[in-house]
Amino acid sequence: MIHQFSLPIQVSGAFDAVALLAGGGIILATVFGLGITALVVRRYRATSDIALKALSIGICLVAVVPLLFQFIDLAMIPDALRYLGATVAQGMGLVAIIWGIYGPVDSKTRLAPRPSVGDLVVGAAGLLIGSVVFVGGLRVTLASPFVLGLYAAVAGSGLFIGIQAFRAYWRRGNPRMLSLGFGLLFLVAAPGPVTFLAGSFVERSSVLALGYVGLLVVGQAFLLATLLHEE
Amino acid sequence: MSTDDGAELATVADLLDSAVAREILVRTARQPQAADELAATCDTSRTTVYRHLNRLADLGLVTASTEIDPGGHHFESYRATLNRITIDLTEDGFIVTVDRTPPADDAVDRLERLFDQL
Repeated sequence: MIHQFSLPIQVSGAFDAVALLAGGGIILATVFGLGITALVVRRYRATSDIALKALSIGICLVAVVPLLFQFIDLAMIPDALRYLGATVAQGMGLVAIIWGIYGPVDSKTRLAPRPSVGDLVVGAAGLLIGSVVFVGGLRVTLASPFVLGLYAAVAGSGLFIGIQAFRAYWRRGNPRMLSLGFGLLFLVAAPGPVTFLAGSFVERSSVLALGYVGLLVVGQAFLLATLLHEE
Repeated sequence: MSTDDGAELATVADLLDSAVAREILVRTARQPQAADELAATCDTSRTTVYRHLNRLADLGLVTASTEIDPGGHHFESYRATLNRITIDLTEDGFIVTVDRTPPADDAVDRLERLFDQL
């Protein structure tokens, strides 16, 4: 059973091999996330572009902050809020990335060009997936509509940016955009929907956790590859 | 891509001989720039910048697009479309190939440019 507020990565049972794998995966994903943050911080210092600052902050919020919530176990904070905080952080990161794309370019607060027809189509796809997550979640989980709405918004936004990255790869064959697209897909767009769907078929929470963690690890690896790739 | 004869080679070479023109192409290759921004970074007058922008635009090496600031004011933004110039010396003379990339000004290209800067 998936806790109505939580991400399904509450592993328990020290001698359960699956649980151990899931725990190891979380650590690996966090190491990747810290590597991503270190790269972003190092490169961020050399720039002053507002859009790039927003992108940098967004990547850190998406890649590593949610994972840190898994290790923060303050007795005063209920688990529900802790896990919600991870999703909220990820959502804020996606908003920052979208702001970097469509928001002001520099200190003169110049706006980016208006969304194209292609952007609107991709946005509609994100909205559709978000709706599927919301409706599907209502049917298979006990999660509240508010929480599901949050998950849906994060999944839809992640899918939107991921598809934009795939479009960039389609145009010019930039491998960084391909790995960025897969990174956002595995890290942000897929975990919630896949977990909600799999939760109705998989009984062992540790197996669910392993699957969820696997998506995170793969997503983090792709994001790290995006930043490590040099032209 | 387009192929030009020796006369156009002289035109392109003459334009690129200008340090201001080269700086404009470098700056606008990274991201769209307005004329006043180019004047500041190139440390020259707006008149000089516009003269070079017009010459570059005539050769199809930069393209202009209209943007709107939060105050609702329109302004022209310039972006380099030049990707590569290749000069081949053959038995028939010089063959100049100017490779122009399509202007990148939508969100998809901006996402790619941002990550390329990171």
